[in-house]
Amino acid sequence: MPGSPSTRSIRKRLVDADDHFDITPLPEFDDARLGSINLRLGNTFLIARRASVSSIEAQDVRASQRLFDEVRLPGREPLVLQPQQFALATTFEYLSLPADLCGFIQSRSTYGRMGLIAATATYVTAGYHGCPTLEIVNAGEVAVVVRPGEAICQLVLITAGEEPGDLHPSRYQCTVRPYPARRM
Amino acid sequence: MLDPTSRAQALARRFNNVLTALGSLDDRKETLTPATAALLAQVQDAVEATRQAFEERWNNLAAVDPAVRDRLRTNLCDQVLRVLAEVAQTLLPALDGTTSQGIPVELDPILTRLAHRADPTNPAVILSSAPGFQYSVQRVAAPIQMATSVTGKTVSTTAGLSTFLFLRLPKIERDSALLHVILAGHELGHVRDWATQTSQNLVPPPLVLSTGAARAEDIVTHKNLISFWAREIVADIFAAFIFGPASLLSFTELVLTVGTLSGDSFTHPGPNRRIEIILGVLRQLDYFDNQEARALLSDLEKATAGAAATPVVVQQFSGQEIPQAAWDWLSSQVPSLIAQCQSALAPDEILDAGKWQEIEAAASQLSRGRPFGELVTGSGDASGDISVIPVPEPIILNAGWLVRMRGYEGLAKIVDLDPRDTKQSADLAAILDGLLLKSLEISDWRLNNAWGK
Repeated sequence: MPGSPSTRSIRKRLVDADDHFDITPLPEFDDARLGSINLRLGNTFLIARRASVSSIEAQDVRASQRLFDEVRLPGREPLVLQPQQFALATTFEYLSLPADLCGFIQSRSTYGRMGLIAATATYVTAGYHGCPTLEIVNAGEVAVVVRPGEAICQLVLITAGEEPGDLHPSRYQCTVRPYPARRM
Repeated sequence: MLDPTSRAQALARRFNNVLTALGSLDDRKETLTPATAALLAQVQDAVEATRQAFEERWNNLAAVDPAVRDRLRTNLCDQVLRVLAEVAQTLLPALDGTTSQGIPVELDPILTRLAHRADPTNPAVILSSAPGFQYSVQRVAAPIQMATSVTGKTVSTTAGLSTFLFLRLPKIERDSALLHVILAGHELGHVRDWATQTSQNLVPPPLVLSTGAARAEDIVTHKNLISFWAREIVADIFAAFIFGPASLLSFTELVLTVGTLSGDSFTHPGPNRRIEIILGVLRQLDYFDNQEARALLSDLEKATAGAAATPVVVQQFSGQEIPQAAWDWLSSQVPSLIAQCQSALAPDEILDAGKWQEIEAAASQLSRGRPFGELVTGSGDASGDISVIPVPEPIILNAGWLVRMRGYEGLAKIVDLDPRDTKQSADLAAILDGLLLKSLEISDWRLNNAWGK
């Protein structure tokens, strides 16, 4: 039956080296509670260009790749997102989900109330490894400053009933940076 | 074109171009590291002070007798040109190469920490990319000082007066973490050599040639060959002590990408000679007593056995007696150089074969498609003690090489790629490099608790 794993179970599994569930760096225990774990913003961003591409078609993967400029911020330097600006980023944490867990990544309410949407219920499949890509949009009326390391979103865990042998690698398996669409 | 007025007009244009280029870097200040921002501020201050002094001195010379005025103005132009040349040829390319499109920003704090361990004067580290396929290191005095040749007085700057260390990597290899062992190992080995003066303290013997007494230029050549070659060997030795087999494997990969294992040059002894020396250090660190480690090294051991005794052939020389004499003496000094390098390192800096189990453990994690930047032990109970410690960089990078040398076993399955397929093996290499950069980033973050709580 799908459900949410307990806080105790999440914490225990995260420090068990033999368990296939892993998040690195290990979250602070305060960040892992009630079936969810706070995740921080990584340092690499793909910023959408506004002027040089007239439009893109979802089927045209190469065009969507040309849409972005990559920026990697040193340390905790800020990124300013203007109103309506769109960027791809990743979580700082690297997730390894076992066959019996999947989840959704959603914005934390603090950021949502500033108009910043960090993730639109991004689905993370059982067996996924990597730093999930976040699609960040400033839907507000004023610029918003974000910094690498801010706990901008959370992973809501759900139990899954997959068998390890049935898992199929995601097309973004084991990636640590944001990627535009790879293939349809 | 040659008269001072024409030259001054050309210089005015160069000043504008240089200041425009510096200004465009200033526009992306938020993407610069603190060291790069300090360098940029110093160069801007130096160029601005030089420009102002140039205009002032030029105008002051208007009152001088025309017979000497042109000569003095020409001298002034020469002085300014030297400053602009230094900016255009060394400083601007380095600053330009600091964009995140060219460097792995995750490595910047790590290389800075390692550089400060190598050089206690704590130079400001500028990690920069360059075209071509070379790694290099260069120590650069505070750029503000170059302006004094034109201003005639100390120029003030708010950016501090630290010395800079330029570390350069090939732009196209930005994310090639496995290859960057060269930067952290060999290039910072040069920094250790400068700090300890290991190669500089070598005193070459008098040159004796079969044709009789050596000429003055022969003596200089002999001395230079020993000096250049010793620098490379000492950097290799430091790298081998600190990074173990990874230093050897990254060096060999770079060499085979740009050339062959044999071939001496005026500045570098043949790679085969250097590999044989590095293998000697690894033998001393007991890697040959470990079957798994030995498996990584045996091919290179066979390929370079006896390299030190092979005749020296430096293309630039018609006769090889001087380079041969230089090599014969220098190779006799290698055991002493190894001992000096070892004694200059703290015990915790040396990666001997006793750490092999840690390397295997890290490789096992990478093979499972997981970064390994921290080691977590303890229990997840609310009352349990949990210990999280950063994994040292040499362990991470050697583990990466282990996964690579074993054909990406495990990792290939996780990502469903075939390492026997050329294209897919390149994708695997990129994934492994990504896992390594993430491991290094997490290790550094854990070490510094960079974001606090």
